[in-house]
Amino acid sequence: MWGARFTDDSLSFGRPEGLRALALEVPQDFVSLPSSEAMARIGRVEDDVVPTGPLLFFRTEVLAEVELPVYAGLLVGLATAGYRLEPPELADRLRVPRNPEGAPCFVFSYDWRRDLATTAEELFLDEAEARVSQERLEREGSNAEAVRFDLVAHSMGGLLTRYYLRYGARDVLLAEEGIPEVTWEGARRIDRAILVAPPNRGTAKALRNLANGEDSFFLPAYEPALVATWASVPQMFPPPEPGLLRDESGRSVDLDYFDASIWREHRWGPYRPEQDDVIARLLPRVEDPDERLRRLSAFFEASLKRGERFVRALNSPAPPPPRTSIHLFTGDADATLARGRVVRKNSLFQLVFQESSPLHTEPGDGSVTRRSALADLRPAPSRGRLRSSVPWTSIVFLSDRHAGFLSNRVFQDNLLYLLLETSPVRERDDL
Amino acid sequence: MSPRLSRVSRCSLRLCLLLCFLAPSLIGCRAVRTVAAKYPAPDIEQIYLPHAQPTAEAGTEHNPVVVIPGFGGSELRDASGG
Repeated sequence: MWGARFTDDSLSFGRPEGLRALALEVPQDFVSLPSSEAMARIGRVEDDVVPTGPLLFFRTEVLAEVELPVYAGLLVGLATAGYRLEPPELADRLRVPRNPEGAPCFVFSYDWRRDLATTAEELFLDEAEARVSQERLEREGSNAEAVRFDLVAHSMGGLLTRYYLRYGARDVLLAEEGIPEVTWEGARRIDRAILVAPPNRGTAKALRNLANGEDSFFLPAYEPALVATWASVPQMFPPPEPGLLRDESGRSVDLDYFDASIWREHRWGPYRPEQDDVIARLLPRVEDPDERLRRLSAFFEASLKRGERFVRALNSPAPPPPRTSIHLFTGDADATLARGRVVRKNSLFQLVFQESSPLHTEPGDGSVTRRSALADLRPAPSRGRLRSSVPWTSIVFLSDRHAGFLSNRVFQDNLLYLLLETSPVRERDDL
Repeated sequence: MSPRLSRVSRCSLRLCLLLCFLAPSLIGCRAVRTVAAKYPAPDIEQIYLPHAQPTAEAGTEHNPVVVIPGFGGSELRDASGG
Protein backbone atom coordinates (compact mmCIF):
# COMPACT_ATOMS: atom_id res chain seq x y z
CA MET A 1 0.00 0.00 0.00
CA TRP A 2 1.17 3.55 -0.66
CA GLY A 3 1.93 5.64 2.29
CA ALA A 4 1.53 8.95 3.81
CA ARG A 5 1.92 9.81 7.43
CA PHE A 6 5.05 7.79 7.90
CA THR A 7 6.82 11.07 8.54
CA ASP A 8 7.39 12.97 11.75
CA ASP A 9 3.98 14.53 11.33
CA SER A 10 2.32 11.16 11.24
CA LEU A 11 -1.00 10.49 12.86
CA SER A 12 -2.02 7.26 14.42
CA PHE A 13 -4.45 5.26 12.27
CA GLY A 14 -5.76 3.59 15.40
CA ARG A 15 -7.15 6.80 16.84
CA PRO A 16 -10.48 7.94 15.35
CA GLU A 17 -9.04 11.32 14.33
CA GLY A 18 -6.10 9.60 12.61
CA LEU A 19 -8.43 7.27 10.72
CA ARG A 20 -10.71 10.14 9.67
CA ALA A 21 -7.75 12.22 8.51
CA LEU A 22 -6.50 9.37 6.35
CA ALA A 23 -9.92 8.68 4.87
CA LEU A 24 -11.18 10.82 2.04
CA GLU A 25 -14.19 12.68 3.38
CA VAL A 26 -17.49 11.23 2.20
CA PRO A 27 -19.87 14.13 1.47
CA GLN A 28 -23.36 14.02 2.90
CA ASP A 29 -25.21 14.70 -0.33
CA PHE A 30 -23.69 11.81 -2.28
CA VAL A 31 -26.67 9.61 -1.45
CA SER A 32 -29.08 11.83 -3.33
CA LEU A 33 -26.93 12.41 -6.42
CA PRO A 34 -27.68 10.69 -9.73
CA SER A 35 -24.94 8.30 -10.79
CA SER A 36 -23.37 10.58 -13.43
CA GLU A 37 -23.25 13.52 -11.05
CA ALA A 38 -21.75 11.40 -8.29
CA MET A 39 -19.04 10.30 -10.71
CA ALA A 40 -18.33 13.91 -11.60
CA ARG A 41 -18.21 14.96 -7.96
CA ILE A 42 -15.93 12.21 -6.75
CA GLY A 43 -12.83 13.86 -8.11
CA ARG A 44 -13.69 17.17 -6.51
CA VAL A 45 -14.20 16.04 -2.94
CA GLU A 46 -12.39 18.41 -0.60
CA ASP A 47 -11.14 17.73 2.89
CA ASP A 48 -8.57 19.10 5.32
CA VAL A 49 -5.65 16.99 4.17
CA VAL A 50 -3.04 18.59 1.92
CA PRO A 51 -0.17 16.86 0.16
CA THR A 52 3.24 17.94 1.42
CA GLY A 53 5.56 16.38 -1.12
CA PRO A 54 7.03 13.04 -2.00
CA LEU A 55 7.75 10.50 0.67
CA LEU A 56 11.50 11.04 1.00
CA PHE A 57 12.07 8.35 3.60
CA PHE A 58 10.07 5.47 4.93
CA ARG A 59 10.42 5.45 8.67
CA THR A 60 9.01 3.02 11.17
CA GLU A 61 9.90 2.00 14.65
CA VAL A 62 9.79 -1.49 16.08
CA LEU A 63 12.09 -1.51 19.09
CA ALA A 64 14.61 0.38 16.97
CA GLU A 65 14.13 2.99 14.30
CA VAL A 66 14.30 1.69 10.75
CA GLU A 67 14.53 4.21 7.96
CA LEU A 68 14.83 3.63 4.25
CA PRO A 69 15.23 6.16 1.48
CA VAL A 70 12.27 6.23 -0.89
CA TYR A 71 12.21 9.28 -3.19
CA ALA A 72 15.30 10.66 -1.43
CA GLY A 73 17.30 8.06 -3.36
CA LEU A 74 16.01 9.22 -6.75
CA LEU A 75 16.22 12.94 -5.99
CA VAL A 76 19.74 12.71 -4.57
CA GLY A 77 20.77 10.81 -7.70
CA LEU A 78 19.33 13.53 -9.95
CA ALA A 79 20.93 16.30 -7.89
CA THR A 80 24.27 14.52 -7.99
CA ALA A 81 24.03 14.56 -11.78
CA GLY A 82 23.56 18.34 -11.73
CA TYR A 83 19.78 18.80 -11.68
CA ARG A 84 18.49 21.77 -9.72
CA LEU A 85 15.89 20.47 -7.28
CA GLU A 86 12.85 22.70 -6.97
CA PRO A 87 12.09 24.15 -4.52
CA PRO A 88 15.72 24.75 -3.40
CA GLU A 89 14.76 23.89 0.19
CA LEU A 90 14.33 20.33 -1.01
CA ALA A 91 18.04 20.25 -1.93
CA ASP A 92 18.92 21.67 1.48
CA ARG A 93 16.80 19.08 3.21
CA LEU A 94 18.57 16.31 1.33
CA ARG A 95 21.95 18.02 1.82
CA VAL A 96 22.77 18.10 -1.87
CA PRO A 97 24.05 21.08 -3.91
CA ARG A 98 21.45 23.53 -5.18
CA ASN A 99 23.02 23.46 -8.68
CA PRO A 100 21.83 26.91 -9.80
CA GLU A 101 23.16 26.27 -13.34
CA GLY A 102 21.48 22.90 -13.69
CA ALA A 103 18.30 21.93 -15.49
CA PRO A 104 15.36 22.19 -13.09
CA CYS A 105 13.79 19.13 -11.49
CA PHE A 106 10.24 19.70 -10.25
CA VAL A 107 8.30 17.29 -8.06
CA PHE A 108 4.56 16.93 -8.51
CA SER A 109 2.88 16.53 -5.13
CA TYR A 110 -0.64 15.22 -5.22
CA ASP A 111 -3.11 13.54 -2.94
CA TRP A 112 -2.71 9.84 -3.72
CA ARG A 113 -6.14 9.02 -2.28
CA ARG A 114 -7.95 10.96 -4.96
CA ASP A 115 -9.21 10.15 -8.42
CA LEU A 116 -6.28 10.07 -10.85
CA ALA A 117 -8.08 11.60 -13.85
CA THR A 118 -8.90 14.70 -11.82
CA THR A 119 -5.40 14.80 -10.39
CA ALA A 120 -4.02 14.86 -13.96
CA GLU A 121 -5.75 18.23 -14.36
CA GLU A 122 -3.48 19.58 -11.63
CA LEU A 123 -0.19 18.61 -13.26
CA PHE A 124 1.55 21.99 -13.30
CA LEU A 125 3.27 21.92 -16.69
CA ASP A 126 1.83 25.30 -17.73
CA GLU A 127 3.36 27.00 -14.69
CA ALA A 128 6.64 25.09 -15.06
CA GLU A 129 6.80 25.99 -18.75
CA ALA A 130 6.26 29.69 -18.02
CA ARG A 131 8.95 29.64 -15.38
CA VAL A 132 11.55 27.84 -17.50
CA SER A 133 10.75 30.12 -20.42
CA GLN A 134 11.31 33.20 -18.26
CA GLU A 135 14.59 31.80 -16.95
CA ARG A 136 15.78 31.24 -20.52
CA LEU A 137 14.85 34.76 -21.48
CA GLU A 138 16.80 36.19 -18.54
CA ARG A 139 19.81 33.94 -19.09
CA GLU A 140 20.05 33.72 -22.87
CA GLY A 141 18.08 36.74 -24.01
CA SER A 142 15.65 34.54 -25.92
CA ASN A 143 12.94 32.05 -25.11
CA ALA A 144 11.97 31.23 -28.67
CA GLU A 145 12.61 27.51 -28.30
CA ALA A 146 9.63 25.58 -26.98
CA VAL A 147 10.08 24.12 -23.50
CA ARG A 148 9.92 20.35 -23.52
CA PHE A 149 9.87 18.13 -20.45
CA ASP A 150 10.99 14.70 -19.36
CA LEU A 151 8.71 12.92 -16.89
CA VAL A 152 10.00 10.35 -14.38
CA ALA A 153 7.08 8.57 -12.75
CA HIS A 154 7.05 5.82 -10.16
CA SER A 155 4.32 3.29 -9.33
CA MET A 156 0.84 4.87 -9.36
CA GLY A 157 2.50 8.05 -10.68
CA GLY A 158 3.05 6.00 -13.86
CA LEU A 159 -0.73 5.57 -14.31
CA LEU A 160 -1.26 9.26 -13.76
CA THR A 161 1.44 9.99 -16.35
CA ARG A 162 -0.03 7.64 -18.94
CA TYR A 163 -3.48 9.12 -18.48
CA TYR A 164 -2.05 12.63 -18.87
CA LEU A 165 -0.07 11.69 -21.98
CA ARG A 166 -3.15 10.14 -23.60
CA TYR A 167 -5.83 12.70 -22.74
CA GLY A 168 -4.07 15.76 -21.29
CA ALA A 169 -5.52 17.70 -18.38
CA ARG A 170 -9.16 16.76 -18.89
CA ASP A 171 -11.58 14.31 -17.38
CA VAL A 172 -12.64 11.90 -20.13
CA LEU A 173 -14.30 9.43 -17.75
CA LEU A 174 -17.64 11.23 -17.81
CA ALA A 175 -18.27 11.05 -21.56
CA GLU A 176 -21.64 9.41 -22.08
CA GLU A 177 -20.67 8.00 -25.45
CA GLY A 178 -17.84 6.04 -23.82
CA ILE A 179 -14.12 6.60 -23.62
CA PRO A 180 -13.05 9.01 -26.38
CA GLU A 181 -10.19 8.47 -28.80
CA VAL A 182 -6.66 8.88 -27.54
CA THR A 183 -5.34 12.28 -28.69
CA TRP A 184 -1.92 12.24 -26.98
CA GLU A 185 -2.83 15.77 -25.95
CA GLY A 186 -0.58 15.66 -22.88
CA ALA A 187 2.38 14.23 -24.83
CA ARG A 188 2.57 17.42 -26.90
CA ARG A 189 5.47 18.89 -24.89
CA ILE A 190 6.94 15.69 -23.41
CA ASP A 191 10.12 14.24 -24.91
CA ARG A 192 10.59 11.27 -22.61
CA ALA A 193 8.17 9.56 -20.25
CA ILE A 194 10.13 7.22 -18.00
CA LEU A 195 7.91 4.88 -16.02
CA VAL A 196 9.33 3.01 -13.05
CA ALA A 197 7.36 -0.02 -11.83
CA PRO A 198 3.96 1.22 -13.05
CA PRO A 199 0.96 -1.08 -12.44
CA ASN A 200 -0.21 -0.69 -16.04
CA ARG A 201 -2.48 -3.73 -15.87
CA GLY A 202 -3.36 -3.08 -12.26
CA THR A 203 -2.37 -4.93 -9.15
CA ALA A 204 -4.19 -7.72 -7.35
CA LYS A 205 -3.06 -6.06 -4.13
CA ALA A 206 -5.48 -3.19 -4.76
CA LEU A 207 -8.32 -5.69 -5.03
CA ARG A 208 -7.15 -7.54 -1.93
CA ASN A 209 -6.71 -4.39 0.15
CA LEU A 210 -10.16 -3.15 -0.69
CA ALA A 211 -11.84 -6.53 -0.19
CA ASN A 212 -10.00 -7.73 2.89
CA GLY A 213 -7.91 -4.81 4.16
CA GLU A 214 -4.17 -4.69 4.58
CA ASP A 215 -2.43 -5.72 7.75
CA SER A 216 1.33 -5.95 7.80
CA PHE A 217 3.75 -6.46 10.66
CA PHE A 218 5.41 -3.06 10.46
CA LEU A 219 2.48 -0.85 9.53
CA PRO A 220 -0.89 -0.09 11.08
CA ALA A 221 -3.82 -1.98 9.57
CA TYR A 222 -5.70 -0.44 6.68
CA GLU A 223 -9.34 -1.36 7.22
CA PRO A 224 -11.41 -2.10 4.08
CA ALA A 225 -13.88 0.68 4.92
CA LEU A 226 -11.01 3.15 5.04
CA VAL A 227 -9.62 1.91 1.71
CA ALA A 228 -13.14 2.25 0.24
CA THR A 229 -12.86 6.03 0.61
CA TRP A 230 -9.77 6.18 -1.61
CA ALA A 231 -10.96 6.81 -5.15
CA SER A 232 -7.54 5.89 -6.58
CA VAL A 233 -7.73 2.26 -5.46
CA PRO A 234 -10.28 0.88 -7.99
CA GLN A 235 -8.25 2.67 -10.67
CA MET A 236 -5.46 0.22 -9.89
CA PHE A 237 -7.65 -2.87 -10.21
CA PRO A 238 -6.51 -5.32 -12.86
CA PRO A 239 -8.72 -5.30 -15.96
CA PRO A 240 -10.95 -8.39 -15.76
CA GLU A 241 -9.29 -11.32 -17.51
CA PRO A 242 -9.71 -15.10 -17.35
CA GLY A 243 -7.78 -16.72 -14.53
CA LEU A 244 -7.54 -13.64 -12.33
CA LEU A 245 -9.94 -15.26 -9.88
CA ARG A 246 -10.22 -19.04 -9.66
CA ASP A 247 -12.35 -21.37 -7.61
CA GLU A 248 -10.99 -24.15 -5.45
CA SER A 249 -10.80 -26.56 -8.36
CA GLY A 250 -8.77 -24.06 -10.40
CA ARG A 251 -11.56 -22.99 -12.75
CA SER A 252 -11.68 -19.34 -13.72
CA VAL A 253 -14.48 -17.41 -11.98
CA ASP A 254 -16.03 -14.46 -13.72
CA LEU A 255 -16.98 -11.86 -11.09
CA ASP A 256 -17.42 -8.22 -12.04
CA TYR A 257 -15.55 -6.57 -9.19
CA PHE A 258 -16.30 -3.12 -10.61
CA ASP A 259 -19.97 -3.74 -9.76
CA ALA A 260 -20.80 -2.56 -6.24
CA SER A 261 -23.74 -4.97 -5.97
CA ILE A 262 -21.28 -7.91 -6.03
CA TRP A 263 -19.42 -6.37 -3.08
CA ARG A 264 -22.64 -5.89 -1.19
CA GLU A 265 -24.00 -9.34 -2.00
CA HIS A 266 -20.85 -11.16 -0.90
CA ARG A 267 -20.05 -8.79 1.98
CA TRP A 268 -16.65 -7.69 0.75
CA GLY A 269 -14.75 -4.60 1.79
CA PRO A 270 -16.89 -1.98 3.51
CA TYR A 271 -19.80 -4.46 3.62
CA ARG A 272 -17.95 -6.86 5.90
CA PRO A 273 -19.98 -7.02 9.12
CA GLU A 274 -17.05 -6.07 11.34
CA GLN A 275 -16.57 -2.85 9.36
CA ASP A 276 -19.59 -1.26 11.08
CA ASP A 277 -17.33 0.01 13.86
CA VAL A 278 -14.83 1.45 11.41
CA ILE A 279 -17.56 3.23 9.44
CA ALA A 280 -18.92 4.61 12.72
CA ARG A 281 -15.47 6.08 13.41
CA LEU A 282 -15.28 7.47 9.87
CA LEU A 283 -18.70 9.11 10.06
CA PRO A 284 -19.11 9.94 13.76
CA ARG A 285 -21.83 12.54 13.20
CA VAL A 286 -24.18 10.03 11.55
CA GLU A 287 -25.89 8.01 14.27
CA ASP A 288 -27.91 5.57 12.19
CA PRO A 289 -25.70 2.63 11.03
CA ASP A 290 -27.85 2.07 7.92
CA GLU A 291 -27.54 5.71 6.97
CA ARG A 292 -23.77 5.56 7.47
CA LEU A 293 -23.47 2.56 5.19
CA ARG A 294 -25.78 4.16 2.61
CA ARG A 295 -23.61 7.22 2.48
CA LEU A 296 -20.36 5.28 2.14
CA SER A 297 -22.01 2.98 -0.44
CA ALA A 298 -23.04 5.89 -2.68
CA PHE A 299 -19.45 7.12 -2.71
CA PHE A 300 -18.04 3.63 -3.18
CA GLU A 301 -20.34 2.82 -6.12
CA ALA A 302 -19.30 6.00 -7.94
CA SER A 303 -15.68 5.26 -7.15
CA LEU A 304 -15.92 1.75 -8.65
CA LYS A 305 -17.59 3.10 -11.79
CA ARG A 306 -14.87 5.67 -12.29
CA GLY A 307 -12.29 2.96 -11.61
CA GLU A 308 -13.74 0.79 -14.37
CA ARG A 309 -13.70 3.67 -16.85
CA PHE A 310 -10.19 4.71 -15.87
CA VAL A 311 -8.89 1.18 -16.46
CA ARG A 312 -10.62 1.10 -19.86
CA ALA A 313 -9.26 4.53 -20.76
CA LEU A 314 -5.70 3.40 -20.10
CA ASN A 315 -6.06 0.17 -22.02
CA SER A 316 -7.89 1.33 -25.14
CA PRO A 317 -5.87 0.77 -28.33
CA ALA A 318 -4.01 3.77 -29.74
CA PRO A 319 -1.19 4.49 -32.20
CA PRO A 320 2.08 5.58 -30.55
CA PRO A 321 2.57 9.27 -29.72
CA PRO A 322 4.42 10.99 -32.56
CA ARG A 323 7.15 12.78 -30.62
CA THR A 324 7.39 11.13 -27.23
CA SER A 325 9.43 8.11 -26.22
CA ILE A 326 8.09 5.92 -23.42
CA HIS A 327 10.57 3.93 -21.33
CA LEU A 328 10.04 1.28 -18.69
CA PHE A 329 12.07 0.11 -15.70
CA THR A 330 10.55 -2.87 -13.97
CA GLY A 331 11.41 -5.77 -11.68
CA ASP A 332 10.95 -9.45 -12.29
CA ALA A 333 12.86 -11.16 -9.51
CA ASP A 334 10.29 -11.37 -6.72
CA ALA A 335 7.14 -13.41 -6.36
CA THR A 336 4.32 -10.90 -6.65
CA LEU A 337 0.62 -11.29 -5.98
CA ALA A 338 -1.16 -11.70 -9.32
CA ARG A 339 -4.44 -13.51 -8.69
CA GLY A 340 -6.80 -14.75 -6.02
CA ARG A 341 -9.05 -17.64 -5.10
CA VAL A 342 -12.79 -17.53 -4.70
CA VAL A 343 -13.97 -19.69 -1.81
CA ARG A 344 -17.66 -20.46 -1.47
CA LYS A 345 -18.92 -20.28 2.10
CA ASN A 346 -22.64 -20.98 2.34
CA SER A 347 -24.02 -18.77 -0.41
CA LEU A 348 -21.22 -16.20 -0.18
CA PHE A 349 -17.99 -15.93 -2.13
CA GLN A 350 -14.89 -15.01 -0.18
CA LEU A 351 -11.80 -13.63 -1.87
CA VAL A 352 -8.55 -15.19 -0.71
CA PHE A 353 -5.14 -13.88 -1.75
CA GLN A 354 -2.02 -15.72 -0.67
CA GLU A 355 1.27 -14.02 -1.38
CA SER A 356 3.07 -17.14 -0.20
CA SER A 357 1.37 -19.37 -2.76
CA PRO A 358 3.02 -19.94 -6.16
CA LEU A 359 -0.51 -20.36 -7.53
CA HIS A 360 -1.27 -16.75 -6.66
CA THR A 361 2.00 -15.13 -7.69
CA GLU A 362 4.00 -14.20 -10.77
CA PRO A 363 7.44 -12.61 -11.25
CA GLY A 364 7.47 -8.93 -10.37
CA ASP A 365 8.87 -6.44 -7.89
CA GLY A 366 6.83 -7.55 -4.88
CA SER A 367 4.00 -5.12 -5.64
CA VAL A 368 3.63 -4.98 -9.42
CA THR A 369 3.97 -8.01 -11.65
CA ARG A 370 6.19 -7.99 -14.71
CA ARG A 371 3.14 -8.58 -16.90
CA SER A 372 1.32 -5.61 -15.41
CA ALA A 373 4.29 -3.25 -15.79
CA LEU A 374 4.72 -4.33 -19.40
CA ALA A 375 0.97 -3.82 -20.01
CA ASP A 376 1.23 -7.31 -21.45
CA LEU A 377 -1.84 -8.26 -23.46
CA ARG A 378 -0.87 -11.91 -23.86
CA PRO A 379 -2.77 -14.38 -21.69
CA ALA A 380 -0.77 -15.80 -18.78
CA PRO A 381 1.68 -17.46 -18.98
CA SER A 382 3.04 -15.05 -21.60
CA ARG A 383 4.38 -16.77 -24.69
CA GLY A 384 5.72 -15.40 -27.98
CA ARG A 385 6.59 -11.80 -28.70
CA LEU A 386 5.36 -9.04 -26.44
CA ARG A 387 1.99 -7.49 -27.25
CA SER A 388 1.43 -4.42 -25.11
CA SER A 389 -1.05 -1.57 -24.89
CA VAL A 390 1.93 0.76 -24.30
CA PRO A 391 4.25 1.58 -27.24
CA TRP A 392 7.51 1.08 -25.35
CA THR A 393 10.67 2.67 -26.70
CA SER A 394 12.89 0.76 -24.26
CA ILE A 395 12.52 -1.66 -21.36
CA VAL A 396 15.03 -2.43 -18.59
CA PHE A 397 14.51 -5.27 -16.11
CA LEU A 398 16.06 -5.03 -12.67
CA SER A 399 16.11 -7.41 -9.76
CA ASP A 400 14.92 -5.00 -7.14
CA ARG A 401 11.78 -4.36 -5.19
CA HIS A 402 9.07 -1.80 -5.81
CA ALA A 403 10.52 1.11 -3.84
CA GLY A 404 14.08 -0.21 -3.95
CA PHE A 405 14.41 0.80 -7.61
CA LEU A 406 14.66 4.43 -6.73
CA SER A 407 18.01 4.09 -4.99
CA ASN A 408 19.27 1.33 -7.27
CA ARG A 409 22.52 2.44 -8.91
CA VAL A 410 21.90 0.44 -12.10
CA PHE A 411 18.52 2.16 -12.43
CA GLN A 412 20.04 5.58 -11.79
CA ASP A 413 22.87 5.02 -14.28
CA ASN A 414 20.41 4.04 -17.01
CA LEU A 415 17.96 6.79 -16.08
CA LEU A 416 20.65 9.45 -16.32
CA TYR A 417 21.86 8.00 -19.62
CA LEU A 418 18.33 8.34 -21.01
CA LEU A 419 17.85 11.85 -19.67
CA LEU A 420 21.25 13.29 -20.46
CA GLU A 421 22.78 11.39 -23.34
CA THR A 422 20.07 10.14 -25.68
CA SER A 423 18.43 12.23 -28.38
CA PRO A 424 14.72 12.82 -28.05
CA VAL A 425 12.50 11.13 -30.64
CA ARG A 426 11.73 14.47 -32.33
CA GLU A 427 15.40 14.95 -33.26
CA ARG A 428 16.03 11.55 -34.72
CA ASP A 429 16.83 11.37 -38.41
CA ASP A 430 15.03 8.09 -38.95
CA LEU A 431 11.59 9.61 -38.30
CA MET B 1 -1.01 -34.13 44.87
CA SER B 2 0.65 -32.72 47.98
CA PRO B 3 0.62 -28.94 48.52
CA ARG B 4 4.44 -28.85 48.21
CA LEU B 5 4.40 -30.77 44.92
CA SER B 6 1.60 -28.57 43.72
CA ARG B 7 3.68 -25.46 44.42
CA VAL B 8 6.60 -26.97 42.51
CA SER B 9 4.31 -27.88 39.66
CA ARG B 10 2.88 -24.40 39.56
CA CYS B 11 6.36 -22.95 39.61
CA SER B 12 7.47 -25.23 36.79
CA LEU B 13 4.39 -24.38 34.83
CA ARG B 14 5.03 -20.68 35.26
CA LEU B 15 8.65 -21.13 34.24
CA CYS B 16 7.61 -23.08 31.16
CA LEU B 17 5.06 -20.44 30.22
CA LEU B 18 7.60 -17.69 30.79
CA LEU B 19 10.11 -19.46 28.55
CA CYS B 20 7.46 -20.11 25.94
CA PHE B 21 6.74 -16.39 25.67
CA LEU B 22 10.18 -15.06 26.45
CA ALA B 23 12.16 -17.11 23.96
CA PRO B 24 10.23 -16.05 20.84
CA SER B 25 10.19 -12.48 22.15
CA LEU B 26 13.94 -12.45 22.56
CA ILE B 27 14.43 -14.07 19.17
CA GLY B 28 12.02 -11.53 17.69
CA CYS B 29 13.91 -8.64 19.28
CA ARG B 30 17.15 -9.96 17.91
CA ALA B 31 15.64 -10.34 14.43
CA VAL B 32 14.32 -6.79 14.51
CA ARG B 33 17.68 -5.46 15.66
CA THR B 34 19.38 -7.35 12.87
CA VAL B 35 17.02 -5.70 10.35
CA ALA B 36 17.57 -2.33 12.03
CA ALA B 37 21.32 -2.78 11.75
CA LYS B 38 20.96 -3.65 8.09
CA TYR B 39 18.84 -0.56 7.42
CA PRO B 40 20.29 1.99 9.81
CA ALA B 41 18.76 5.29 10.71
CA PRO B 42 19.04 8.03 8.07
CA ASP B 43 22.41 8.63 6.64
CA ILE B 44 22.04 10.71 3.55
CA GLU B 45 25.80 10.74 3.13
CA GLN B 46 25.51 7.11 2.14
CA ILE B 47 23.20 7.99 -0.73
CA TYR B 48 24.88 11.20 -1.76
CA LEU B 49 28.34 10.51 -3.02
CA PRO B 50 30.38 13.72 -3.11
CA HIS B 51 33.14 11.88 -4.93
CA ALA B 52 30.77 10.51 -7.60
CA GLN B 53 31.76 11.57 -11.10
CA PRO B 54 28.69 11.64 -13.34
CA THR B 55 29.43 10.73 -16.92
CA ALA B 56 27.19 13.60 -18.02
CA GLU B 57 25.92 16.65 -16.21
CA ALA B 58 22.44 18.14 -16.36
CA GLY B 59 22.93 21.63 -17.73
CA THR B 60 20.44 24.15 -18.97
CA GLU B 61 20.58 22.58 -22.43
CA HIS B 62 18.75 19.57 -20.98
CA ASN B 63 15.01 19.31 -20.56
CA PRO B 64 13.48 20.12 -17.20
CA VAL B 65 12.43 16.96 -15.36
CA VAL B 66 9.16 16.44 -13.51
CA VAL B 67 9.18 13.64 -10.95
CA ILE B 68 5.74 12.13 -10.35
CA PRO B 69 5.88 9.96 -7.25
CA GLY B 70 3.55 7.16 -6.31
CA PHE B 71 3.72 7.76 -2.56
CA GLY B 72 3.31 11.11 -0.89
CA GLY B 73 3.30 12.75 2.46
CA SER B 74 0.42 14.84 3.74
CA GLU B 75 -0.71 16.82 6.71
CA LEU B 76 -3.85 18.42 8.03
CA ARG B 77 -4.66 21.83 6.57
CA ASP B 78 -4.58 23.41 10.05
CA ALA B 79 -1.11 22.07 10.66
CA SER B 80 0.11 23.64 7.42
CA GLY B 81 -1.50 26.93 8.28
CA GLY B 82 -3.77 26.70 5.28
